[in-house]
Amino acid sequence: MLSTLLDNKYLIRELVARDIRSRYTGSVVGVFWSILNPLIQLVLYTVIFSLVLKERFGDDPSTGRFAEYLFCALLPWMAFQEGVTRSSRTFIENSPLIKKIRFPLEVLPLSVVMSAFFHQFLGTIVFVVVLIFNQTLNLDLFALAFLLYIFQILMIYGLSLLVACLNVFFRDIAQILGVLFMFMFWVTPMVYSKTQAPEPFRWILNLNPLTHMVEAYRFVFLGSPLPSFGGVAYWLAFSVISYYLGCFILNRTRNELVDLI
Amino acid sequence: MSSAVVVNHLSKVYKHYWGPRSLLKEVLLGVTSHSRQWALKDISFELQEGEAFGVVGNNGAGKSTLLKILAGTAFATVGEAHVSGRISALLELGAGFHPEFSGRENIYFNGALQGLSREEVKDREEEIIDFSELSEFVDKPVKTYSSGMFLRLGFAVATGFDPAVLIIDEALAVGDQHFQKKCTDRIMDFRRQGKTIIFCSHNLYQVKTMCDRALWLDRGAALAVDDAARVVDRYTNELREERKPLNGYPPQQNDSLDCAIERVATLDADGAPAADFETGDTIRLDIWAFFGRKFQGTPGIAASIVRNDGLLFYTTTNTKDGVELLPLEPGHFYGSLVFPKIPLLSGAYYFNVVTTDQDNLQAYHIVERAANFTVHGGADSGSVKLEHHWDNKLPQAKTLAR
Repeated sequence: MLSTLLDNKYLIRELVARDIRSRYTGSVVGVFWSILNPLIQLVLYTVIFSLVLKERFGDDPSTGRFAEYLFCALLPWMAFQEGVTRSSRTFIENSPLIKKIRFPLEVLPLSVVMSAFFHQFLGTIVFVVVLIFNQTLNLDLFALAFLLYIFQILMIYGLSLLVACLNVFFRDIAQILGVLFMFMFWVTPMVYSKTQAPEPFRWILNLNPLTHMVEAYRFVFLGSPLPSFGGVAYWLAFSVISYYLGCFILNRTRNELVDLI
Repeated sequence: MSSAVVVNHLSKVYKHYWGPRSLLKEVLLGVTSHSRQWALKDISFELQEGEAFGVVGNNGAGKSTLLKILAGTAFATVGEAHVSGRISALLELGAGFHPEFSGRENIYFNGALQGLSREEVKDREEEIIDFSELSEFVDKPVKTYSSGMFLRLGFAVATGFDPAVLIIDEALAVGDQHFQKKCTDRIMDFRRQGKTIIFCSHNLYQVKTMCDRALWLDRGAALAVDDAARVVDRYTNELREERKPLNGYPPQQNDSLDCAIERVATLDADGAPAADFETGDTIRLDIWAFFGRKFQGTPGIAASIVRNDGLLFYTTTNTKDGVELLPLEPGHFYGSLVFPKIPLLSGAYYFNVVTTDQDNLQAYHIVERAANFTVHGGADSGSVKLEHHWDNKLPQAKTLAR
């Protein structure tokens, strides 16, 4: 699997570039939108949550930082949602490529995931610049972010492969995902802190690997709150298992899949 | 010489699920909810490097499935197909194009699809743009192209990266007459360069002319793998028995005025115009043809004798016979085809005359019933007079044995 991806690294680069460029063809400022979008979003959150609603995030006494906590969690979440949702349709949308050209299937979801990650990365740059401006960036653990990226991509890619394959057989998957993400958004502590969740429901949050991913990102960029290390280990293991599960499912269904597309 | 393609006991089953719920039922409950269709049954053959291999058969015989498996876009259920070297499949031209991107960007993208690096594509970029004749349009989005431009670029890209094995499904030639000629020339070049070609077509004439060997598929099974001419002849026979119409010529190009038959006349042995003959007479067919400036190569003329009920007796071309036409003024050519002692019996006949290229793969101007003639054949019955004699002696050996 990994060797197929390495053999096709140039193809993947072209696909990602094609995906990013196609989003902005004909637009005046082009890829600049990928920076403008998160910037506007971040400013909007700051105005609404910190200035208008004066929300506090968890145990943090300052009202000014709510947008930071929220945005820090939203960046990986959006990459997750976009990557998995678009991957679920990628085999069907690219059926001319798959049916008419010999095409390595594993490349398609990866290019979708990497294109989503590209936007996350640009968003993160905006985010970090704002943090530096606010003087709230936690520099001690900053380098660890790249480690988190690797596991995050591994998880998204694995799940993307899974839904991409299953959706060929059961076209309902893409619809089910929409509903699932609606739930996932609220059982992941993004607009609230884990400590704010009532005790009887907290096990649901702990069971959700994304909870620990979000906490890990917050700890790395903002330095608080301290995540549960068992939880983070659980997320890392989940990422690796997702990846292998995705690969396994693709290899099992590959031959029949192309007949059904 | 080594094997370029090895196909070993290849079979392919398509599963047809009865509906979206039946697959779920099958997965969850283990109840079989599909019917099976054998698209290919136990196919085996081996191709040497540089061989041109034809695939013939009726619609639904499994030709496309076989090409898909060889191209790697479908997988075998049983058995294996192995192709060595980079494959380029002309299954659908321009399938990998993105409409929003320019021709040039699509060249790079398709190069990547075929496993080439940016540098390797760069080396061939100019040649591909040249071949597709897009020059000033190459940096415009593909969605603005006419369908002809789109196909031209598709063909140039599919054949432009020096593949080792070329898989062609019908789409031998695209665009106008001039570009079609370029397409067939390029494929013939590939053949001369010793590339392996797998060619599937309903045009038996092209299969016979182009391929060394051929496979005849019938409802998924291989009826024959043999010398192309022999396979096509056997298949033709079968079609005749089923009374299916036959196409004896390559397809005529739309833009045919550039290479035109100008005048045709039948003459007798003394060179005087004639239309009535006796069996055993000499018939001479004079042809004047024009080949325009766009035409490149050796001008060819094909002539056929056909009876008025459509039965084709014989077709020949000057290029196949190794004879060049006589050039008159620039662009104008003359040929005179002589049939000494014509064996035809009584009936009304006509000549079909066609302008072709040197490989007889392109037909430019097809003139049916270019010249009519009648033959009076005396008392014999049948279609042609066959050489014969009677030898009414008892064989000696037999007598002795008794």
